[in-house]
Amino acid sequence: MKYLIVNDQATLTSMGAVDQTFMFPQNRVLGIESINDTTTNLLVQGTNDVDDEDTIVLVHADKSAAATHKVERNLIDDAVSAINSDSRLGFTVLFDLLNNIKLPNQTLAGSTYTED
Amino acid sequence: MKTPYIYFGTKGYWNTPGVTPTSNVAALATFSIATAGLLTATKNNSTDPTTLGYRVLHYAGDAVDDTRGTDYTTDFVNGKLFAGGTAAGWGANKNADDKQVGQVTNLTGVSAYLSGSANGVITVGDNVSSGTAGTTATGILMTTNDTVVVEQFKRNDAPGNGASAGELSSCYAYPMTAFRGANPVAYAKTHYDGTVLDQTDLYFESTDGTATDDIIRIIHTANKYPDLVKTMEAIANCGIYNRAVTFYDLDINGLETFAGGPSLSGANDLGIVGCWRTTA
Repeated sequence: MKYLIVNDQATLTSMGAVDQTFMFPQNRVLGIESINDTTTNLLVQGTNDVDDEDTIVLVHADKSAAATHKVERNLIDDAVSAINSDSRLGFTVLFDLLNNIKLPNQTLAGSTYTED
Repeated sequence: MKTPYIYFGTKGYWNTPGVTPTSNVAALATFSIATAGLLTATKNNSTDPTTLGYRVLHYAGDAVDDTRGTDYTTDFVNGKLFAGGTAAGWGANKNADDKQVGQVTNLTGVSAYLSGSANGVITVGDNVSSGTAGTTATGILMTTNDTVVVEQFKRNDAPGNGASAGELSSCYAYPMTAFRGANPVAYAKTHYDGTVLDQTDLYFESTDGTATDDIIRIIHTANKYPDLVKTMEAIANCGIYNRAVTFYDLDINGLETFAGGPSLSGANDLGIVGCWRTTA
């Protein structure tokens, strides 16, 4: 089993509270869905409540604009590739605001993790 | 464990019988996200239908003279002149404003129809210069043997096009491990090009973690259910892990992408005319 990590905090000292940093196994993904023209949600089975979901918000360029209309579709491919990654470390960082790591078609600003 | 992911774009589709006008307008049966995959934004008599991401098509089930607006001269499916007569393949030699069985009219006139704000009601005007919609140029007089199809043909027509907005064009990707099964559902309708249609509901574990499944509703050519489930099996075992496999997509330019049938040909082997998400 491989694991995924997200972090929406930009400074080390601010990490550690709820809704900031999250590690989850790749088989807990429930799905990926469009929310609006600039937001896609990656939904995983809830940590506190298995009958609920945790929400990872992936921000991207405007998919209603002609120049960037494929960005969300490509971002979904980015996410799937990362989730299914054969990382030898055993984990893959989806995005990390502290270290400026993100998916290729993602915008870090506004990308968040929220536990439900 | 790795698993293939399946991706669904949205194509709204509403196929409904014609309605006899009252006070020169005919309010079609109400549709919803669950039944049609779209809820159209407000359209008044000054909104040009050709600027929208969906179209309203009238299929003539009866032959009735003097019922079609003068704006409409050619058939949407085959491009032949309505006035082409038997030489064009129609049943009789008639004028362009005379409806003949099988003729398909794309209601592109600015005042041809109205839509409320995401209320699921489209009101079509007849070809009389009175009533809230329709004129001698833009209207069409329906009978109950006619069919009207509301068909989305490109993404992003309406502002706020996301899942919560309830108008047009969301998209979804699921791990194939979340696939719960495919259920054929009675549909018994005919597309405007004469193709008989079926409906299949694809069940997935809910993305919000609750016990109620997500359903991807597919409207497709009749008798394609066996091919559709073989396509799902092919995607589940395709061994593609670095991207989501597109089952169906409709982009901002109207370009459609298909997985294809069991061979994953990339063509519309299943005859998909509608694809959207609802819940059980």
